[in-house]
Amino acid sequence: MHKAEISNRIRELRFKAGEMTQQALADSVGVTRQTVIALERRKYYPSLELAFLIADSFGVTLEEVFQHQSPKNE
Amino acid sequence: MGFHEKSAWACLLSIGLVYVPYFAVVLRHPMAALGFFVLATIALVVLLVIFHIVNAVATRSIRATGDTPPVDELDQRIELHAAKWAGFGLAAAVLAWILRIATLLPVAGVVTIKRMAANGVEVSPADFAVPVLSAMAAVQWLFAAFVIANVVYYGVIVIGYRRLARA
Repeated sequence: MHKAEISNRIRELRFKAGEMTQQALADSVGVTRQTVIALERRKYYPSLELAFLIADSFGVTLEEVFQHQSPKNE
Repeated sequence: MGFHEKSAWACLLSIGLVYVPYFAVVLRHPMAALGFFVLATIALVVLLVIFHIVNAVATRSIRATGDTPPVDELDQRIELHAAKWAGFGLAAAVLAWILRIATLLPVAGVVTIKRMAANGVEVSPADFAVPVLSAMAAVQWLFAAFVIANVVYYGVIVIGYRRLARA
């Protein structure tokens, strides 16, 4: 199975949302700041539930936060 | 460093500080185990309480809100990963213990019988006896397996958080 690449615009959306801090986003979706940092650095892919919560907290759709790039066959 | 990582460090350090000296003494002097076990348990509880108070005071979010940070899905994932490796560690250590007991204890029993026979005591297979010290040491090795599994558990948690921090 190929590993999918999932990018996100969390950092960008935070700044667009009045320079929301990582801690404020973490509090609004019920995770730790460490998890927000891991998400922004793409070291961790969130569950569907958390992904929807993050999108809701920015008032955008899931696709506007997370983008999936199909794996390339080599 | 987050609260849960510091908490894992605290558990790892406490276990090391208490059980390294504990096993250093008890594996050499198995009969001292009971007293040392009580001492070690008290020392572990005291150290954990101290470390967790320091951790709570040092964590900004707890100072601000008074609440412990939630255990979120990333923390749970790291803990599950750690539990898996701790399970492997415990299984390997118990297997090693069983192999050791299955080979060494019968040898110890035979040596005892031979010693009795050499001293002119009439012996039969019913006299097969395991020295108390060997049995007590064997029990401590099994306990060590449990402690090792805990070290693996907290160690893997710390490694998991460190990997995230380094990225």
